[in-house]
Amino acid sequence: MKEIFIVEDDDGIRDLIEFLLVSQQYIVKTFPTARSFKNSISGETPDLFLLDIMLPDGNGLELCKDLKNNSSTSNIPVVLMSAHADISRMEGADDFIAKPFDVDELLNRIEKQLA
Amino acid sequence: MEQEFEKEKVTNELWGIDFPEYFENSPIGFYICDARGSLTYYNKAAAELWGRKPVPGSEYWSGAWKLFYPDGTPMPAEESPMAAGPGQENIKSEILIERPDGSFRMLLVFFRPQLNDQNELQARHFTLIDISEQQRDHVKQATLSAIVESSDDAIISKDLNGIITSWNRGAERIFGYSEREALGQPITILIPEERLGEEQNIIASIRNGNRVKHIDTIRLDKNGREIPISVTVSPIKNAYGKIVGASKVARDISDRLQIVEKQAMLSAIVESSDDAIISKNLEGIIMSWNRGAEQLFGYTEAEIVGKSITTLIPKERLNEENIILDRIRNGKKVDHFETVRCHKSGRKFPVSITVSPIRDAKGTVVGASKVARDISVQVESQEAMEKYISNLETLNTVGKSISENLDVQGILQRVTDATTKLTGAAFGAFFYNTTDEKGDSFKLFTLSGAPRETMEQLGMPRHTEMFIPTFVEKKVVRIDDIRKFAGHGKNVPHNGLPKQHFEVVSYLAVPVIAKSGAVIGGLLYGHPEPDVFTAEAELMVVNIAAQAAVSLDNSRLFEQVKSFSDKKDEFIALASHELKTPLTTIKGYLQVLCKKDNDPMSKLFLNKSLYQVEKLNSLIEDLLNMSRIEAGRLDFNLELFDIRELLVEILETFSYSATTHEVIGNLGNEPVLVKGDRQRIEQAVLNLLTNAIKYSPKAEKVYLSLEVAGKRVTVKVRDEGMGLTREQREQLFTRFYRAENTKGISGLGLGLYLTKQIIERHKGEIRVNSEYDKGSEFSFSLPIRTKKMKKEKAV
Repeated sequence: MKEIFIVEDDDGIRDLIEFLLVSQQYIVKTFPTARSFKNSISGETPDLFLLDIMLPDGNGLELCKDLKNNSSTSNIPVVLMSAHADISRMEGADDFIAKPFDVDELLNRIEKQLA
Repeated sequence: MEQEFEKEKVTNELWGIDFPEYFENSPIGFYICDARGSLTYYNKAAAELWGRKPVPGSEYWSGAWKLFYPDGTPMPAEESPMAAGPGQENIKSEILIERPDGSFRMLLVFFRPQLNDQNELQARHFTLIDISEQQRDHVKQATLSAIVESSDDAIISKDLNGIITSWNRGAERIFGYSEREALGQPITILIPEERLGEEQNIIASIRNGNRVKHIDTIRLDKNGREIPISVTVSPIKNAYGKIVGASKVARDISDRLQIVEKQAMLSAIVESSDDAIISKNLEGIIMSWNRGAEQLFGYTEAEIVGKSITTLIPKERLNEENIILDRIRNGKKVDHFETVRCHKSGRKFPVSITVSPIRDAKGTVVGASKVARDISVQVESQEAMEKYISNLETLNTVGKSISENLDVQGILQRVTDATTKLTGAAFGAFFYNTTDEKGDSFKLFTLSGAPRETMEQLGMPRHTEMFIPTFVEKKVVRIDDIRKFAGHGKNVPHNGLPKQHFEVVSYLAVPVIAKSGAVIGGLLYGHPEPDVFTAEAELMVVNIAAQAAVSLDNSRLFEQVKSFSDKKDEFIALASHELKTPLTTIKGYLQVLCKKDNDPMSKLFLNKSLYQVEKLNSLIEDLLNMSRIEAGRLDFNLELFDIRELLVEILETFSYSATTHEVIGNLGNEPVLVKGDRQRIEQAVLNLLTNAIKYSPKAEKVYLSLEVAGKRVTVKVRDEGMGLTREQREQLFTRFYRAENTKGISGLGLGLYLTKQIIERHKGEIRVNSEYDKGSEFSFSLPIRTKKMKKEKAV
């Protein structure tokens, strides 16, 4: 059972993704803010991070950068999501999904990263 | 009784004389003719007069060779007075005779008949007196009097009592009295009362036999009018040399006086002129010098006349004089020549000179007159004018540059530089009037004439006495010497200026006041010397400051607008993000539902909903892109890619989703490499295809083709729809443009605008060919890249 951490401030999207991933037998932990994410993940390492870029108290890119700079998490794939389609900086992220996304596409991309 | 007796005694004595002998030798010519007129006797004197000795008894009436009337008409002898009948005795006649030698004599002939007792004529006795001499005198006198008469001068004679004895026509003309009126009158009728003494002196002089020559005096005419005359009075002597009167020749000299007066007037004008009027000869020697010259050059007339004109000319301009003299010698004038001359003190000053040749009566150039005028004032005002113009030009340049410039730093730097130069300041600075936690302070913004560090060390000026007038009271402060300023030493200028840098003695501060009345800041200027800043400089800075204030206002306005615009873009970005967020959830759940629900009706509706979600998403995406383009923030991820491959993909997906139209592709088989943002190019092609379908609702086909020509590839999208009018074609690519006849077709009017922006950002070109009601063809071309480049990139 793969575990995925999701950081997404929008309740609707968070619930949708959680529903989709749980349906696919993933273990999902969700965080609505950057702070709650940082506070909770100490020591825990999931199989994948799914991060929204625009967060009310931070930025998914910064989180990604931190994760990739941290030796305990640097090998874990990071997938970014944003409603701003073009991203020039990826900060070492492994994939990017533009919102609104295609459900199958999202699942395919995640699966691909976990393979 | 006694006389009678005496006469008788003498007569008696006479009878003792031998008469024939007496007549014969008498100095008076005498001859006798008999009763018939035959010449019977003549004496020696008669023969002498006639110049011949006629034979007695052979000639009649006279022994003269030829006889004439006094006027020269020939006189036959028988018609002569000598042949006159009895009763003509004692008649005297003047007869002109010609002698054989050709000479003429004027004779006075006396005729005395000798009668017998019966009173019959016995003989004729003639006496001849030569009056030729008298005649000549008479002519002479007549000539003289004719001269006197015809003279324009008044010629008057008077006796020693001053009574007028003769009066010619000239006198009549000058004095108005006729001869008749004047004769017998005392000469004093012509003399004004106050000049009667003159006459006494003249008379006294005349009595002594002296002439009085050419006295200019005044006499009165008949009407009492004063006449200026020149008189010469000469004594008249009788035959014995005794002075019996005086002749007076008087000439009217009104005309002459007028000339004299004119000359006097001219010389008075010359004398009183403020201009220097100098004359010089052709050798350049000064001949005359008026008071104006004395004032202008400092030399007195006595000092300079006879000296060379070069005394007045600065050494470096000596050749000017040669040029001037050359012109003068050729009779030419030198007009308003502006040059420099020397004062006695050595001071040089600007003059305007006009030099004209002076000619003598024959027209020969003998010298030059020179009129010189001090034009220091004109030159100064001209210089002032030039300076003013140059200042205006500076103002204009500064004004132009500050009005063209919307960048605050640029405006203020330009203003500070220009005004520092203009005022002659050692340094100039602009301080912003800012407010910080500690209260008001002034922030150095721009500086000219000194390195910024030196100024920054000072700390910012505070509200000192010196600055209050500028920043608070909005006053211009100009101080010629700050050391004398009352506030100096307390806190001036601020914190104390570092001594090694600049000492401020001359000080000028001008507030820069916004339209609102707020003091934006102040322009401050300093110089280590006193009296540097002029009123004029102050005025210029005030003008520039006013212009700068306007520009700063504009600039602030611009900044505001720009920030509004930035906010708008920010808003659109945020809004599109916020719009996409719920859209993401909606799309997700719809897709989940679509998978789970197998009811065909539900599936159809869910798919329709999903299509609308996609449409909504692309509208939001267009808006976002538009705002990015406006902000210049549309990012491109450039890469080499095969555009044919991209078009094939598009054709596949589009054919799948487009249900109303068939998309016919003509894309060839060879890959075509271009460099660009694959995703953006895809967006552009999709926009064109979407439009082609959207605007050809009645057609069934749209065409997508790829053409390679030279180094460019062209992508064409053609429809068979409603087409475009010319006017529509022109406006097609502008933002939010929607054709008139497209009502009922949805869209924001951003698609073609974005497409054009994308293509142009790829150095491409977008075109449209369209015929109204027939269809449209949109095409864009891009430069082709080669495989070689791709390989390089790949390596």
